[in-house]
Amino acid sequence: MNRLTIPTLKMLLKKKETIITLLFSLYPLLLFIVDWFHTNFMQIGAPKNSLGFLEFFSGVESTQYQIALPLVAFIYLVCTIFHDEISSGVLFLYKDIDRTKILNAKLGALFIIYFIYFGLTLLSSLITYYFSIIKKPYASGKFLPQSNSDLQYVVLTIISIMLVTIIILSFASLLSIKFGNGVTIILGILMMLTASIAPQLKTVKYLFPNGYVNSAFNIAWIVMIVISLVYCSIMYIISDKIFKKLEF
Amino acid sequence: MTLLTVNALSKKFKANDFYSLQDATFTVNEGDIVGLVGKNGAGKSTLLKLLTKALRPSHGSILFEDKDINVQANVLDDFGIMIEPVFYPHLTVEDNLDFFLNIHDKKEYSQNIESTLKLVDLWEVRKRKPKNFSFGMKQRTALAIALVTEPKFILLDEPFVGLDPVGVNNLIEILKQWSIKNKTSMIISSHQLKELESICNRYIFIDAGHIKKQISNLEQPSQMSIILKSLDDKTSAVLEELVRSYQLHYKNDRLIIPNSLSNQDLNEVLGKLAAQDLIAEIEKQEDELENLFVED
Repeated sequence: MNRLTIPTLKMLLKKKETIITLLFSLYPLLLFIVDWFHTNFMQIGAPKNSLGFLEFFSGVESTQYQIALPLVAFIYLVCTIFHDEISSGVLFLYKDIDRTKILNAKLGALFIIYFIYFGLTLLSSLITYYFSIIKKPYASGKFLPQSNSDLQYVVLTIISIMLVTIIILSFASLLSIKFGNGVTIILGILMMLTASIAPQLKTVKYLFPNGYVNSAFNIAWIVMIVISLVYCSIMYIISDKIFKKLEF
Repeated sequence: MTLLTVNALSKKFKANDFYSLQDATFTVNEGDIVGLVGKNGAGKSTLLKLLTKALRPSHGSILFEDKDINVQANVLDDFGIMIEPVFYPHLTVEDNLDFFLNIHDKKEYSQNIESTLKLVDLWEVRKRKPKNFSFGMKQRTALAIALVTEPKFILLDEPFVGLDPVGVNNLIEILKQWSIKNKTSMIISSHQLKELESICNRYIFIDAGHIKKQISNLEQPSQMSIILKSLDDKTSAVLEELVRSYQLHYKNDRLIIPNSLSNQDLNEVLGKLAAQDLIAEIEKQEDELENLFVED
């Protein structure tokens, strides 16, 4: 965070791309609409009295990640923040403000928007759970899962999705400084697919934070964060180097 | 006082085997308005982008107030830059200026927003987003951003392109007013020589990446000659009156009309000559700037 972060954030919050991306956080509210139609679409299956709020929220996060659209919208937003501003000459507005400060402000604002998205998803999940899901037979009506091991699994799932998203956004930012929007979106989606598939493959299972969801909680969350920090730091250092040398 | 010193500045792009700009050396003093003249691809935009640090020099140095601009950040704090009409199209005109002041930590200039937008004739549309503006309005939005912090030094690349004649005259008036009011130095790159002549006191001519000539105050400003038909007593009196009233010069059947004559006065002079059926032919003499293009 620096003095450029808040003006950059305010500017980004007025972009259509940001508003569309944030609208994906309202995804859980679709369950209200689905309820009006007798359809199997978005139906939740769980044993009776088993589904607590946090499990529901974890499910929402996983589904949002799997349908990929919110992340694609985020990657497109990244393209508008970096590549579009570089190619259109908008960077002239910043004159010769230290490039690292500009990069930090853009990344800072981007991650704040992601946290707003996360917060809005949490809020819309809360509303959906306590106004709709709670009436279903499979709902436990409790905030936390019933067992400690379930709680640990759910927390690791939520953290892993958050960290993988941050890694993908850092990767997309790095690409967007150097390449056009097409390359950034395609490689961003490839990265997303790789991160989704990796936990299911023996050799690369532990390459991404989501590979540790079934590991011992006390170590898993630390390893997840450390791995993410390593990836993000490497990508940040490369981004900073390229951004400093950037000519437009 | 010298504000800007450009010394042996060169730029060679990686993909090229030639220099887009080579050994450019010049200075700009306080209050100078320098016209940057040259054909397409001559190196004008490369020079301006080097001055804004959008490009890094291959060789040479640029000093602003004796500080090498490529050694540290925030040296261009006192620069107003309009290389392209840039702004955030999704923000209103007013929000664009506000954003610019915020990122440069210059909120004390917020009070300038109204006067600057009035100067560029955008105050009435300050709540509108510039993405749907005409090209001229977009130019003026970018100009307002460049001017709002009362910069000491302004860089303008092709500011007259896309403007209608009224827009061009307005812009020239704005820049003249600004220069008088704030003693601002400017470098203006343009192909429109007549417009440059009406505002600049110095010219740098670039060709194929080299500075070919630097001119201070044109020795032979552009002018128009009207070749007159033979005069009688009545028409001689009319001519004498015109020469005296509009400070014209008459020699060898030619009435010399300087480029500095306003459009209104020019129309009056031509009207009075035409009323007497005195105009035989009109010639336009090229000035030094035009000659530089022609010579090449």
